[in-house]
Amino acid sequence: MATVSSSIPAPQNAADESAPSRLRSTLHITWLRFLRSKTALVGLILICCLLATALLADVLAPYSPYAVDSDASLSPPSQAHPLGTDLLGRDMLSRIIYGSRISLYVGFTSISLAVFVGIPLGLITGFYGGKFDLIAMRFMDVILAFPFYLQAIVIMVILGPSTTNAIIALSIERIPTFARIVRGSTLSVREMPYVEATHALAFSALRTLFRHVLPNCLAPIIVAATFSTATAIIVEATLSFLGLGTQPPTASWGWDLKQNLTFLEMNAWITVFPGISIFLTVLGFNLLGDGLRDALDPRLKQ
Amino acid sequence: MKRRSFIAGVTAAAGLSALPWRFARAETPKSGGMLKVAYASDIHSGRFTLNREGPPGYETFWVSNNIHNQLVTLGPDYKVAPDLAQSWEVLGDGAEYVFNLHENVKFHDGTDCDAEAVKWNFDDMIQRGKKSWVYVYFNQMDSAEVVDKHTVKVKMKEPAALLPALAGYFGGVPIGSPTAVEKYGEEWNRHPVGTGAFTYDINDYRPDEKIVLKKNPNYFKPGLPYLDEIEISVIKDPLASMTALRTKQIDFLQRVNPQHVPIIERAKGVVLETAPERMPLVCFMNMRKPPFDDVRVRQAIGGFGLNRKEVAQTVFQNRATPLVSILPPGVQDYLDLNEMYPYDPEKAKALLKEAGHGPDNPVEFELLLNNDAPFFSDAATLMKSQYEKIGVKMKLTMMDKPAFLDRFLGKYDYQMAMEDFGALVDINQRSVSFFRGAKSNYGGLESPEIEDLTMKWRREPDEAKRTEITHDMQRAFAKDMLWCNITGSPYFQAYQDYVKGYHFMNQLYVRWETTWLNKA
Repeated sequence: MATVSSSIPAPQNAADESAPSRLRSTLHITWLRFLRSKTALVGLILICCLLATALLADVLAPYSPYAVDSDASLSPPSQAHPLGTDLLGRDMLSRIIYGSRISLYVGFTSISLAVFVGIPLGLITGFYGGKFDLIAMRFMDVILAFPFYLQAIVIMVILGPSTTNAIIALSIERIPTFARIVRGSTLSVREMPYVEATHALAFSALRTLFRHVLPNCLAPIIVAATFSTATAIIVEATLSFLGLGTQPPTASWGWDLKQNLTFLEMNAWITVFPGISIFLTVLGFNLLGDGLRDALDPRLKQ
Repeated sequence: MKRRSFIAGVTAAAGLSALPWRFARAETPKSGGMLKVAYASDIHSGRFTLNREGPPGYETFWVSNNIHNQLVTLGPDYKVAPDLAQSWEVLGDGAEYVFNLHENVKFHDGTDCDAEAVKWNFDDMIQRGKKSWVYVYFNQMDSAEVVDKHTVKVKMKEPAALLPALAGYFGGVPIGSPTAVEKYGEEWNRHPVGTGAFTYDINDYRPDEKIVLKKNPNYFKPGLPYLDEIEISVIKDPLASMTALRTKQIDFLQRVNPQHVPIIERAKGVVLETAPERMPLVCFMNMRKPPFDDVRVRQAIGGFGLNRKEVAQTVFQNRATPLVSILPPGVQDYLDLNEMYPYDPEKAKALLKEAGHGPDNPVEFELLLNNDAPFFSDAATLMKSQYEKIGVKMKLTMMDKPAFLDRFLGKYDYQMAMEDFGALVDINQRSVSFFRGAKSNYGGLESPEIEDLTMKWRREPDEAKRTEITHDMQRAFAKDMLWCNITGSPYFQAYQDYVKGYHFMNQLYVRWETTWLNKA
């Protein structure tokens, strides 16, 4: 008996031992396919630059983003102020550098919160189904039924204007996206033989959900998170533009764009540069998202 | 012996005729055409409360000005001028006022605007009492009585100045049709029926979009108005409204953002109007609660620690006046008090220290502002940087206008609030906010001295003595920093050069009865 049992390895052990090498190989293939797309690389470089700017803002910015200099009001680009100054004489380059922190902070935090709530919700509703699934998904439908911007504005009006509240509003809006993606994947994955095997082996529900179901739903989550970050950055800029998001004097691209719009005709640069920053950031996330989607899509395997 | 002062009908008639003919010397007015106007806000929920309820907002006044007349109004020289009353007498140093009305004046609904109708309006106002937000101006009014069909007498409880309030405070007391108020019941304020140069039909009104006024063919002033129609569009974005003016989509822009003035100055075929400020940019300090219940903190933060000159230079690009006095420079009897509070951060720090604040216990407060005008946040940001220099921490909270007004005017739920507030004729107009217990005492002022001076001003028939009282009041406000103005709030209006006969009244009135279009 002992000989027989030792010669037949337990199925879970076999799966666990082969998992790292399989994961390495999957990541490697995905990375190779990602590298094939030049636009995806451009997106990655843009996001890396943005991350570096945000992390090194204290080193890169020549001035404090709040330093008022009345004598330098509305100065055109010069050696002292490469992107000019706004009405209060604040250095636009410094404000744009510090503004990247707000954009990334709001983008990453709001999407992380949405993922944190959306994934368990999608896993549970998809795996168990039943009344909870029905009620939770109808609730998600209600959230999705409202136009995105309108909903964000309503939430901001109720909660009051601030960066934190903008993050909460954006998270609430993105939860249904992740819950639905994960639920859809879970519904198909739960019928797979390896999930049935976990039942036969009496694995706990948590172990089944997070070790065997979730890893097989990750690809669409990563792609959706990337695109959602781009959307979150645009919505934050829009809310700040409307005076409902980040409050002055905090450096925010959306607010600076709105506040400097007054001077569009006389001093266009102070409006154009925050606009370009938003454009490049969102472009970066979208290109990255496109590249990841292509790289992670098994149907596009050659 | 009763003193009788009499303002002759000759003066009155001259004032009246000055309005249309003043502009007609060079060119003969042409009748017809539509004036396209842009306002930054809608009229207040489409309601014309005639000042008998809550404050309706400036846009509503400026529409109401053209639908209604008052007994008296302000002429081009900002002096009291005839309107429905062709002349008047002031009896007993202001104990009684007798108004001689124009004859054969009809409301838009065809009923007579005679002494009975005028009395009805005054009775209605007295009866509503404190429900009317301008009640404090008229609380000394006792009754109105009909002398004959075209003569009305207003009796006061005690001698008091009545004419400035009737003529110019927030659109004065517009005379509406009693029949229409009866006909429309609860909805009376959505159906304004006056005697004015233009008529209003609620069916033409599109909330937040369009207000239409049409010519009153039975207007009692001969030959007026010239325009057939006025279409007022609501364009909230100042950049969009300025572009609409420059591209001739509109003929008249009610308010130009001060920061856009250099562009309008360069625009061809556009007339830009301005005058010394009548409205201040105010930082209300709520004296009901800390930290502004302490006079030393008010003097430090609203006085020596606030660099008004820098705000005027930077935010308004030198188009505004630094302002310590409660009165802006364009208002009658203004006194320049800027030397009372020169910018002196060290003195401000010393005052704060005296009040128990220092690096370990800094003054912290929230400044409430709205996003109606871009210069609010610019001024607030600049002030924040100035306050950092005296160790004061100010947090900015920006809200949309309705939410802002609810916290600021409705609940007094603020520490400091910024707003450009009330275009003034004189200091008495500001007194709506001076009295303890008054709903419009937004800052929580509790000063028997100011109340006494206000009543003294109202009872004083002599203009020179009223000037002295006005000066005393300005000094009293500044001494304890009971009212914190930052700068004047400059007002600019612009219109196409083919718009003729319009007289700029620096926010007090926007009237088009004499306006005409000089184009094919």
